[in-house]
Amino acid sequence: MIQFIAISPENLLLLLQNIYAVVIPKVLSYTLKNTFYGVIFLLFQYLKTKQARMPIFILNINNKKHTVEVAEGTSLLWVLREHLGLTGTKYSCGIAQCGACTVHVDGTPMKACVLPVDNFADGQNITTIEGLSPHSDHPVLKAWIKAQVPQCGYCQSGQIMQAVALLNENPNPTREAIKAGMNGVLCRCGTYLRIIEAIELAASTPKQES
Amino acid sequence: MPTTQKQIDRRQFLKSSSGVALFIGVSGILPQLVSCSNPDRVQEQIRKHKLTAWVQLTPEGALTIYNPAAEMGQGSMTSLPVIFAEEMDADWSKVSVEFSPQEPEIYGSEGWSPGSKLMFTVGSRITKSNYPLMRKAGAQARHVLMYSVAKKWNVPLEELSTAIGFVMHEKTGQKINYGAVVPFLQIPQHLPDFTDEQLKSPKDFRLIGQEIARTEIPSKVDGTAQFAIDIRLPKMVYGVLERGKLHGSKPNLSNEVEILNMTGVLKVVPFDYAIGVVATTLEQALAAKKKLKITWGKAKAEGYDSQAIYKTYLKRAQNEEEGETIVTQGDVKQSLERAAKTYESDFKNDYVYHAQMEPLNAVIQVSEDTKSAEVWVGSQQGVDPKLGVPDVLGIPPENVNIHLQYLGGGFGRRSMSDFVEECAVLAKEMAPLPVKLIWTREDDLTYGTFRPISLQRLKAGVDKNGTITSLSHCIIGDGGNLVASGARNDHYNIPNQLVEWREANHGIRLKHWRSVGHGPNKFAIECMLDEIAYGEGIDPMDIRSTLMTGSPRALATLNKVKELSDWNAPAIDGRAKGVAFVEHGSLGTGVCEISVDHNSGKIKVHQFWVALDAGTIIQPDNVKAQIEGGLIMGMSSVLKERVTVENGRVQQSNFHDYPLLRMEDVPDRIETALLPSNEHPEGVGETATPMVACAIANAFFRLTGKRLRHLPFTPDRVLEVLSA
Repeated sequence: MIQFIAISPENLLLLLQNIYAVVIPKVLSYTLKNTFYGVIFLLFQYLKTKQARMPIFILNINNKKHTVEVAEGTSLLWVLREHLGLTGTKYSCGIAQCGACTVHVDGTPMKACVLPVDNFADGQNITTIEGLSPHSDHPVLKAWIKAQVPQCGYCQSGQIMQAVALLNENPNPTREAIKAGMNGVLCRCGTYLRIIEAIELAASTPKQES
Repeated sequence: MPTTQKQIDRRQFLKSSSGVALFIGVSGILPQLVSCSNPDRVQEQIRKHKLTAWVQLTPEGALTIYNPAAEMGQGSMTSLPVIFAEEMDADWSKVSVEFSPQEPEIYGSEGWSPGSKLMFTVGSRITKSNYPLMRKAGAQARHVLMYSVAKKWNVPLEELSTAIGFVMHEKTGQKINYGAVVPFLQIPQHLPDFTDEQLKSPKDFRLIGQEIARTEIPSKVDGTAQFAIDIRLPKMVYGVLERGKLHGSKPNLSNEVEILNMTGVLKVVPFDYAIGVVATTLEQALAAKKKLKITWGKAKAEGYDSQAIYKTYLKRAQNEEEGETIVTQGDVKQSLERAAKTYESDFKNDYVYHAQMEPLNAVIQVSEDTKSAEVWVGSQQGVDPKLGVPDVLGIPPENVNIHLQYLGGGFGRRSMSDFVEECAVLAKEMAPLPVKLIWTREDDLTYGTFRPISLQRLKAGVDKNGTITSLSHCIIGDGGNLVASGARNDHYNIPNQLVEWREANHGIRLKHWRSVGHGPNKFAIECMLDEIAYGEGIDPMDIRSTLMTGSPRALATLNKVKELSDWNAPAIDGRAKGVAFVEHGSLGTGVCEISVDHNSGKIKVHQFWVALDAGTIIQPDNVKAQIEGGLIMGMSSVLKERVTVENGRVQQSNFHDYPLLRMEDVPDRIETALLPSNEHPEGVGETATPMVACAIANAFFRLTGKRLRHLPFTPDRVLEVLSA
C-alpha cells in the first residue's frame, strides 16, 4: 500500500500511474463505453510513452557508427551484446572482476560491464573481438589455435583482447609480465598455461604487415 | 556479426542439404537410405526412433557427423566424430560437426545401466559410452559405401578396400571418392552387426590417437562461437528472478504496482521461491529486480551455520550411530581390534561453487497456443531430454525442440534444469514472445548448488610389518552420493574396509561438482595413507605400490609419475613434493611440488606431474588439456574457494568474495604422461581434480611437519596450522 502525505506533482503522477497500472484492464473495456475514461486512458498511454523515450547514443565501434536508444547509465556491455548483437564480448560477473567483457577503448583494455554508455559520446574508438581481426587471421588468434587454448571458450574473447593489448604495449613480455598482464581475466576451465604458451608464441611470431 | 541465423533447426538440417542421410541401425535393424531432398521421409525416419542418423554425405564429398554430447570444453565436438570417421575411413579434412538432435532413442548411449539410452554429458562418460556405438556406426557407413560401389562396378565386395575417403578396387586400379558414390548409394538387405574383431585394429588407427585440432576452437577465438546467452530473437524480452539468499524461502512481494510501473516492465511472475520480472530490455529487467521489496518466509536452512556445524558432525563421528553402509569388505571392527597399531584422523571440507564462467541462462519461445516450444540452452542434457520443459508447459515432449548450444562451462551445474524450467514458466506467460532468462553472477552464486560440506573420520589398522589391514571411513554430510562417491578403494588391496555415510540435511541446494565426492574423499584417504607411511617409516610411494600389487594398471601410473617427477631427487630448498592416486574412470597418480610463504600463509604450487592410464586415447592433446584444467580447477578450489552459510544465508555473492585462482597463481609447469593402452577408453575429465588436495597436503607435511585437514587451505588456515 502506498501512502501520500502531500500531493506534490510527482506524487500525483505516481498516484495516477498506480491507478493506471492497477485498473488498466478494466479501463480498457471502459474506454469503449465511456469517453471520459477513454480520454484518461489515452492521456496515460501518452505519458507512459513519453516516459519510455530514451536518449540516443552514437558509438564508434569497430570503426563503424552505431546508434542506440538506451537509458542513461546502461553499461556498454549490455549495449554491445543485447542491443547491437556484438555477442563475442561476454557477461560473467558484472563487477569488473573476471574480464570476460574486456574490450579496447582507444586501444586500452577495459571492462565493458562497468562502463556506462554515456562515457562514449565523444566517439572513442571501441574495439571488440569482432573488430579485432575481420579475417580471423590476427597472430594472436593463430597462436591461440596453435596452442589449442580454449576449453569451454566463454572467457577467451576477454583473454584474447587482454593479450592483444598486452602485446601491443610490450611485444616481448617476460613470463612474469604475462602473468601480471593477464591476472584480471578469469578462466574456470584452467587454460592459463596454454594462454601463456599462446602469448609467448604470438610474441615470437614475426610481425606481418597486412 | 553473429546472428541467430546460424541456428540450425533440427528439422531443417537434413532439408537444407542436397546430399543423402544415412540412417544406419546399430543393432541389426533394417537400414534405410533417404534422400535429403525428401524432408518428409527424413523426418519420418527420425521419428521412427529405431535408426541412427550419424552422418550426412554430399555428392561433393562433404561429411557432416553428428555429435550426440554436449560441448562444454571437454572436446566432444571432436573426439566422438573422430571415432566415427576412423571406422568410416573418412577424409577428416572434409568433416564438419554439428550437434545431433536431442533424441535419445536415436542418439542415446548407455549411461549407467546396460541397454539404456541416454543423452547426458556427465560423469566424464561420453567417450567411454559412445566409443562402441560410434565405431560400429562408422563401420556400417563404410560398409554401405563399399556395398554400393561393389554393385555399381559389379565386383565382389571382398575385393574392395577403402583409404581416406575413397573406395578402391585394387585388381582393376579403380578408385572413387565417397562423395561420388552418393548418386548410386544403396543399402544392403543385411547390414553387418560389426563385432569388435571386425573393426579396425588399433595399429591401423590413423585418426584415433593423433593430434587432431579441436573442430570448434577457431570459433572460440574469434568470438563467433555461440552460447545460449548470445541468442537474440526478434521481439525477444528479458527475464530475471530474485531468489534471495535463503534457499527455498517463499517470497512476499510488497511493491508489485511500483515494479509494474517501471519503464519497460512487462510482467511480474511469482515463483514458490522467487519473484520473476520480465521487461523489454535486460537493463530494465535488472533495474526492476533491484527495486523488488520482498519479505522472505522461513525455510529449512534457517538457523543453520556451516562453520559451527562441524562441532555437531564431530559429535556424530564419535557416537555409536549406525549410518548407511556404502562399502563393506572383511571385518573392519575385528581387524582394528587386532591391529598392531591404529591411526585415526578427521578431514573436513567446506562448500564449493561451480563458478562456470557463463552464468545460467536460456532462451525459450512458446507458441501462441502454448502447445509447442523452442528452447535454446547450454545444457549437459539429462534423463529428461527435453529438460523439464514439457512438464512446465503441460505439452508432449515431441512438441519441445531443444537447440543445444555450447556451454560456457558445466562442471555438473548444467546437469540440472532448474534454470530451463524457470525460463519456460516466463516464456509461457509471455507467449509467443521469446524470453531470455539470465541469472546474474550473484544469482548464480547465492542461489547456487554446491558440493556439500562433510566431515570424514578415517581409522586404519596396520600389522606388525606396517601393512595396512583395515580402513574404516565414516562420512558425515548431506547429499548421499554427493558426499560418498570416491570412498571406495578398488585399487588398494586392503582386506578389511568399511565405508559408512551418516546423513545430515541442512536445506542447502547441492549438486554434483566436478569429481563429486571424489574430491573430499580422495583427500581424506590419500592423506591418511601419507600419515600411515610417515608413522611406519615408509616412503609414500612405497606404501601405495605395496597396496597396488593387485592392480597393475594403477601401479604403472604410480611408477611412471615417480620417474617423471624425479621423486627421489633431493628437494629444492624450501620446496617439497607430495603424491596422490585417484581413480575416476581413468587411473592417475599425481605429484606436486610446493612451497609455503610462512608470513602470508600462501601455498605456491610450482610443478605438477601426472601419469594417466585412460585406456585408448582418442585425442592425446585434449586429454592433456583436461588434466591441466582439472588440476587448475582443483588448485582453485583447494587454495581459494569456500562458500559459507550463516543463519541459512549464503554469504558470498560474486568473484570479489568468492575468489577463483588467477594467472598469478598458476604452476610453472604441468607435465602429463599418457600410458599407452588399447583398452576401452575411460573418462579423463575428473581424475585430476581430486589429486590436488591430497598431493598439496602431503607435500605440506613434508615441508612443515604439519597436517592440513580442512579444505580449502586458505592463507588464514595455513597460518593457523603453522602456528598450532
